[in-house]
Amino acid sequence: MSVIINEVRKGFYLDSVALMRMSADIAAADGVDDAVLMIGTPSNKQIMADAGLLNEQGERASANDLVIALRAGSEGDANRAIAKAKKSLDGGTLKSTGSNALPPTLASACTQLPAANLALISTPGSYATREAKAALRQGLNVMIFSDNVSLADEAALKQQAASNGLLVMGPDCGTAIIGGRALAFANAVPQGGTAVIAASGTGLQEFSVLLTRLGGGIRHAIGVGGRDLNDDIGAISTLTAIDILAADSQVEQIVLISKPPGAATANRVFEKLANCGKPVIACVFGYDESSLPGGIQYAGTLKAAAETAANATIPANQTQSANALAATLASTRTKIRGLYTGGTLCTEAQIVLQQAGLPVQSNAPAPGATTNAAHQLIDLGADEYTMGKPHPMIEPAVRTESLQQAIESADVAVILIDLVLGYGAHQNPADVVADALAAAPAERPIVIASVCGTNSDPQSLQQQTASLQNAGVIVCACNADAAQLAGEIAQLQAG
Amino acid sequence: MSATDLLNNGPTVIGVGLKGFIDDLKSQGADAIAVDWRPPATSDPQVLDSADRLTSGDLSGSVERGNQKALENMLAADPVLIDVRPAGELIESLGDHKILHAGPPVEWPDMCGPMQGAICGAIVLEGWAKDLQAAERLAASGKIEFEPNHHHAAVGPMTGMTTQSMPLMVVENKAFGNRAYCAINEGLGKVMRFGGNDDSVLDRLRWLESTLGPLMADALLASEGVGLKNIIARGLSMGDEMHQRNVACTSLILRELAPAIARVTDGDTASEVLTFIAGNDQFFLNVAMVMGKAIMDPVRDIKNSSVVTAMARNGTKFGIRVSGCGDQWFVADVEMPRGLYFPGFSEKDANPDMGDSTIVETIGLGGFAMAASPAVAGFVGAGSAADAVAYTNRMIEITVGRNPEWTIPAMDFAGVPTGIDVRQVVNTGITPTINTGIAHREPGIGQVGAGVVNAPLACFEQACVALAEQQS
Amino acid sequence: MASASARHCGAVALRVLEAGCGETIAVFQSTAYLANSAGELLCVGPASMPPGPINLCVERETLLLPAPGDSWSFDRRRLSTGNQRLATIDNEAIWHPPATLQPQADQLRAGLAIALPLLRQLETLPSLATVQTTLHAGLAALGEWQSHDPLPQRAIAILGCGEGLTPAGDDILCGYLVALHCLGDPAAQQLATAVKPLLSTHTSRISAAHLSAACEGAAVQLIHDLIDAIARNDRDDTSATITALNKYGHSSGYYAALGATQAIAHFTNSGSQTRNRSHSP
Repeated sequence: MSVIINEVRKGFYLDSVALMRMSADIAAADGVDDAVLMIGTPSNKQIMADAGLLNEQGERASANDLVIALRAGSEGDANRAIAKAKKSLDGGTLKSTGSNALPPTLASACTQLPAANLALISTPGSYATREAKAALRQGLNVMIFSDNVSLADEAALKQQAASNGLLVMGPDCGTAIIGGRALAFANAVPQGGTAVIAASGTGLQEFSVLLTRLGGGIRHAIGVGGRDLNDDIGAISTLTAIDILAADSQVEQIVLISKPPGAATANRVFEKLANCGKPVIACVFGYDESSLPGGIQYAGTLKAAAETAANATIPANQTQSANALAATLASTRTKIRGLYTGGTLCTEAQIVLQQAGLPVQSNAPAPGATTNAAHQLIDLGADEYTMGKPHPMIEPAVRTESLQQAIESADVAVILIDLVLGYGAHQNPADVVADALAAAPAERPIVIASVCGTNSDPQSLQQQTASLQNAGVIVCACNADAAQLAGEIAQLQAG
Repeated sequence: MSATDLLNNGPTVIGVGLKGFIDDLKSQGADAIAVDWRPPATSDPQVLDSADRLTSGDLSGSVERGNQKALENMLAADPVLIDVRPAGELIESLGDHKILHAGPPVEWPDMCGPMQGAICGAIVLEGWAKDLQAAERLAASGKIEFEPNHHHAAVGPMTGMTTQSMPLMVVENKAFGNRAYCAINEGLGKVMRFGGNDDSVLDRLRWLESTLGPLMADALLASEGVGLKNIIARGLSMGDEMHQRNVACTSLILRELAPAIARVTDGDTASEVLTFIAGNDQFFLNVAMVMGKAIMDPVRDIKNSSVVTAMARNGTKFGIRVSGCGDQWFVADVEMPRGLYFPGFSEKDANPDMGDSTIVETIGLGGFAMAASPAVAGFVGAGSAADAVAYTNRMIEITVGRNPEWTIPAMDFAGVPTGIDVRQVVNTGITPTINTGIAHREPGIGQVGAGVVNAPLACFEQACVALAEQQS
Repeated sequence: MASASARHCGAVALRVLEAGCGETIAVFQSTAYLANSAGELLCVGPASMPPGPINLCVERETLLLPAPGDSWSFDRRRLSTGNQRLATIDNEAIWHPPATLQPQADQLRAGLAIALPLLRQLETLPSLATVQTTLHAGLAALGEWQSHDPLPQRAIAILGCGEGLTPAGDDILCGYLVALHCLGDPAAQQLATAVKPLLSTHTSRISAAHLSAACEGAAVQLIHDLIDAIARNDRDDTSATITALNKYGHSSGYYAALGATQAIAHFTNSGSQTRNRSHSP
């Protein structure tokens, strides 16, 4: 749908050269089909009308008025181009003089940074919808980090975006990597040919980190928000993401990471993926592999997805066997207690334990989890734990209390934890864990951890791993390995 | 900027919320900028919903069109000072026992001290009571009719007294043919606009009526009027913002009037009159006000427009009118100015904000043109010259456009922010900044300081709701 | 500061100034347009501005220009704006357009054969194709126009057609009118009569001022030089004036040259010479 804007300046005089230059600038602006700066003579108005550039505003112009007329593909492009024109016409860059204060509104930020193509929204959730709407109106793609956006708002935003060829990532989108730039919580990973569409934040992070360790790299990683694949939303953002990734010649393969899609949505997503022209790996936790269309490879865990994508195996990095570890435990210690900061890492661990035949319960249950099982994995990032508190990835000290309780529990054999590094995360989460363990008695549960990070992250993977090991924590190569080891110990203890 | 562009060009990001994310992006070499985001000042869902509908929802297109028309009318205005006449001749219904005052409607019991003082003075001036005590009894008796200046194409500073015998300046907006009126500035010190009502105040008013008014009328007739747009343009480049600083414009208009005054009267009278004008740096304030009224009246009643056509205070309430809502007032409690006080006075002496002079901000001058007037920024306690620029920059956020004919040299000749948009005020929580004089709370003492005051957000919230309701 | 003298002052410009006072209506990078109380315009610019009917070229390389809205006054041949004296105009500076030519048809044809290819090399395309179409259709309509008929709509459409503040169509018409006038074609007067009443509604004030002078047969000196060079079949002068015209304005010079050459072409190809002959002594 094209949009025509006419701006009329009464009795406005400017050098022809300046006008022509401005006219060329505007015509070259993104999404502008045609643009012209003319005085509003009868002849010119006829010409503008013939060229599909005149609206009722320009129609009213007189021969001494200057008309800026343009036609653009979308309202956002048109508004941006006209803002640019007005700015050159009005002369004077108000913002360049005086204070260097931040722009108070999204609209004024757009005039300061006209090349902007993405709004990253992290306001409290109740305000996020308004800001996202404003961003879409400006023609920006949107990443909504905020949570607590209603399903109805999410659907409306995504529909509006789709009709303008724009992408909405989120709500509750913690992570994205576009063209090598990490957005919000993301790790410093090298660029490569793998593209990711993820309904989850830490799932995307763990996958990108493991792929990096196997020598791979990320072209783009698009977060779509945890509910995009629900039937209420109908995978609007996922479908857009598949289209744009399929069209990118540098994308060699596409990996989808999500919980099982809604029944009505699954077919559309998987059909589109199967026909996108690139190899596809679907890491869909607890999904029935046999219902995937041919041509899509299935991965049950993030580790499996990374290994399939890289066509390599993640080497184990710790040497102590389950037997040796179990030997250090009192026989009354039988249970696994997982204390997770990353929600998808918690899900993956549940899947791994269930595959090992261990029943699990969780506040964020993965498919197959029961309500009253011996082994309990807690997602500390879930709403009931974060109400009024920072997310545990930002402030891992919120885990300390649960950690101490688990240490003091006589029946806990293994405490399973994660450490998530990268942009946005706490600068030294290992020390927070180490501090909690320093005060623990000598006879305590075994603590098994995995660190989701790279050596290029602001908190180095190497350093964080070393800190944990010094504090007596068993550090596994990845979250799935950590869960696997915990499971083996639990089986021995039950034994 | 389609989704494909995002992937092809990489992200160029505007951050709304946590600034740390933007710092991280910059550290990776990405182009990114953070918005200084604050939660909306409004939490009332009806207000937010109305503002959303007017800004980006179903009503936005018609509001945009209305606002463009409003801006067009403002920029097309051609105000010319043409005459001075007794108010009774100009305003048909202004006869005995009727007083026009500043701000939105207010009745005697609700008026602040200076307003009541000025009313009593005006009653004595008109001869409706023999002294101030009798005047007070008459005012309280309900036999005096009070109405806002704004209801009669008029404005008045501070208490804004207008009665039948007072000489009013007449500005005609040649582009639209409408006229507006305002009394002549009385000077500083003990004056009726600050509630003064003793003999010296009334004597000066009688002199305006008998001498200055008729003489100005003759001089204007002889010089075929004085075009005001150009005087403002020059005044801005000479450091005036036309609310708290009018020294340049007063000199400029004196230059226009002096030769004609010399032609139409004897030397002694000319000297007396010119001395009076030259001795009052704020003489031009009333001219700027009546010009503002003449510019804004053709902006009233533009269908769906969310542009503010009047802002005025009566000493207790602040009222605004919005183009698309016609003559309806949206009223809230007036705020106290923040500023600097003359020696010997402090905040406890101050009267709440008062007067129709906010018409000056309504057309993009005063607090909106603070950057043109670093001297005023200091005087009203707004701080440094850079702060002055920041004030003007903030007003850009809440206005429809800029006035290319009234430019600010210090900002690379950018035009003053023009056409206050109630939607943007509600969306940003940025309320209009007004440069104002501060009156003593007791009548008759006069000005005790100067400062800045903000228009109350509630007026703009009500206007948004009303505008949205009216369109639905 | 002593005021500079005027290098050239067009006869129309002087007439505008003689009203005594007025205001500045538009200011460009190096020139400003002043209006008198009757609304007539002149253009003040530096010495490098070519002489023309409404131009006042001041003997300085750069001028301290007045601001829009500034008043000007003209008293004892001195032009002042604001508080500065801009220029003094001596009698010898007054510029008049050259006298009309005594054209020879074969010379004109030969001159055109030199000018047209040179112009074609310079052709600048407007950003909208419809502008080009309108201009060419208008030129064709002017060529076919019989001066006793009303001016066809397609020809009127040239007026005010094109981008910027002095639209290309007006430049074409300027060149066209002046060339007809210089050739002594009576159609010049008839075309002027048809165009004049349209000026206030069909184009900008500034463009109308230039066109109004063209209706009297005068344009910037360069146009007269070109017509003269073509009439003399002088290859070097034709080439030199076309080069100079191409540098004049953004594209004004080019379009004026286009208008002038088209007028000459129509004059030589049609019965204009017959009309002319009947008019000659």
